[in-house]
Amino acid sequence: MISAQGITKSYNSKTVLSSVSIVAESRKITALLGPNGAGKTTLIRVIMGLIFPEEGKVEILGKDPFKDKSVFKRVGYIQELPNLPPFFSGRQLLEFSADIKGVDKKEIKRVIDLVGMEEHANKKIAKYSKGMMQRIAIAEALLGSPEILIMDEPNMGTDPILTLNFRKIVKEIAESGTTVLMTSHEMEDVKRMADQVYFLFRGKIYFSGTTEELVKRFLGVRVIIEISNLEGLEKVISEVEFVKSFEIEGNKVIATLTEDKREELLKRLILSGFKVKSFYLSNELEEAYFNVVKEASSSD
Amino acid sequence: MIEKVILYEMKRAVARKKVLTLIIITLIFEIGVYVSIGEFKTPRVESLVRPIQDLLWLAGVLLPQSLLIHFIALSISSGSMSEEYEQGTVDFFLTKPITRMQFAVGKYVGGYILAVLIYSFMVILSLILSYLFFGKQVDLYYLPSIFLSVIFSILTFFSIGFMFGEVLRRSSIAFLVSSVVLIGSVIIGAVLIFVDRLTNVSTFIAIAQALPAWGGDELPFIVAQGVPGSGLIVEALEIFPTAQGTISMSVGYILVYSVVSTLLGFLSFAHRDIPKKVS
Repeated sequence: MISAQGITKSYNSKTVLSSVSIVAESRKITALLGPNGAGKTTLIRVIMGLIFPEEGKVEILGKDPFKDKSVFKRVGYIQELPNLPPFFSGRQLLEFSADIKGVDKKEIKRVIDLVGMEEHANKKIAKYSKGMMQRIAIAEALLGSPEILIMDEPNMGTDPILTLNFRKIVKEIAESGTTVLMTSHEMEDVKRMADQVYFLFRGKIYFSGTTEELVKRFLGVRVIIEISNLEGLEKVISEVEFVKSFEIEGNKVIATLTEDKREELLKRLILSGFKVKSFYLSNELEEAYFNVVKEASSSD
Repeated sequence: MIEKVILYEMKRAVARKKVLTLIIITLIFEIGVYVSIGEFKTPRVESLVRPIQDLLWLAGVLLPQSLLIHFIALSISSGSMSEEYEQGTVDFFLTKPITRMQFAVGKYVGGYILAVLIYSFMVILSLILSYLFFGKQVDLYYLPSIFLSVIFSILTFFSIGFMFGEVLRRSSIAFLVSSVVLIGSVIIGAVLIFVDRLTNVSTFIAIAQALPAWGGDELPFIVAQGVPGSGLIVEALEIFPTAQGTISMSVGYILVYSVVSTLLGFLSFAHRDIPKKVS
C-alpha cells in the first residue's frame, strides 16, 4: 500500500501541493489525473523520496521512503521520459538494477522477453529509440515482480501492440497483489485500467473515486441503448421524467439521466414494446475529464 | 552498495569525451617531452640533460602535476553529479535501495579512483619512456612518496569540482567555475609573490599560500626537492612562481579545501530536492 497524507510543497512561495492525501491499495490500480501543472509529477516524486515535502507523511509498504531506502527493493518505477545511463546496454542496465535490488539474475531474461527486447538487449541505450527506451524502462521496473509499481505517464508512444500488452501486464500484476499508482493523460489507459482515480487541480485533490463515479458526477448518467425498431421511441423517451436529454444516432439512443435510474428506464422501454439489443453505461471519461477541469477552473 | 556506484562512476567518467580528450592531451604532452628531449639533442639540450638523465623519470612524474592533472580531476568531478541531473539519470539511482549518502560517496570515490588510475598510468609511462630514452634511472625509492603526494594533492580541485557540480547542477558551468578558481588562484598567487618581492611584506606570501592552488600545486614539488640533484627538474616544472612552504602547511591547506568542499557538496545533495531533468 502507498499512503501520502497531508502533503504540502511549494516553490518560491507558489504552492504546488496543498495538503494532498491519497491512498493506493494493493490489488488496485490508482490513477492520478489532472491537467499539466496540477502537481501529479511532484506528488509522485515526493512519494519516491526525490522531493522533500514541507508537510505531510509518505509511507510505502508501511515504511518512510525518506528514511528507509530498503523499501525500494520492492518498488518498480517508470519515469515519464525514462532517462537511463546511455553507456549501458539494456542487459547491463538490468543486471545492474538486479544487483542493487537483490533480484535473481534469471529474472532478466523473463522481463526482456516480456517487453519484446530480445533483439536489442545488447545494444547501448544511447542507440535506443524512444520506444525501446520505454520498453527497457518497463522491463527494469518489473524486475523481481515488485509489490509496488509507480508509473509517471507511461507513454507507450505509437506502438499499439506494446500499449495493449502493457495494459494487460499491469492489470495482471495488479490482480496478483501489486499496488499500482500511475499518472496519465491517456484517458483510454485510465478507463481500461484504473480502479480508483484522484483528480488533482492546482495542487489540491478535486475528486476521488472510481472512473464510473467520476463520469457520473461530471457528465451525468449517460446510457447508450441499441434498439432494433426506433419507431415511437422519441415520444416514449421524452415522457420519461428523469431523462434530461437524449439524441438518436442510427439505431442508437444516447440518453443523459438526471439520476441513476437505469433499470427503471430499461423496464419502461421493454414494457413499451421496444426490442432492446444492448443497454450500457457510457464511459466518456475524456468528456468527463474536460468537465472536471471546467468546473474546477470556475470554482477556483 | 557503494562499490556498485563506484564502478558505475568510473565507467561513466571514462565514457565522457571531455575526460578522454584531457587524458589524451596529457599523454601526448608527456610522450612529447621525452621524445623531444631524447631525439632532438642539440649541444645545449645535451649539456643540460646529461647531469640529470638518470633522474628524468621525475620529470614525467611531476609534469602532469603542474596543471593538467588538476584539470583532469576537475573535469571528472565537476561532471560527476551535474551530469546525472542533466541526463536525468539521478532519478534512476535514487529510486533504488541506495541512500543519498551512499550514492554521493560512491560517486566521489569512483571519480577519485579514476583520477588516481589515470595518474598511475602516466607514472608508468614516464618510467618506461625515461628508461627507453635515457637508460637506467636512479633514486626510484622516492617514487612512492612523490606519487602519494600527487594523488593527495589532486583532492583539492577534485573536491572543489565535485562541490560546484552538485551545487550548480550544470556540468559546463561547474567546470568553468572550478577552472576559474584553479587558474585564478594560480595567477593571484603569482601576483602576490611578485608584490611580496617588491614590498617585502610577508602577509602577501601568507595569502598566496592560503589560496586553493598553492597546497595542491606545491606539495609534490616540496616532496620532490628531497631527491638528490632534482633541483633543475623541479625548477623547470614549476611553471608559475610560487611561495615556499612546508609539507605540513600544504597538507593542511589541501585538507581544509578538500574537507570543506566535500562536506558542502554532500550536504547540498542530502538536503535538496531532485528536480526533473534540467536540460
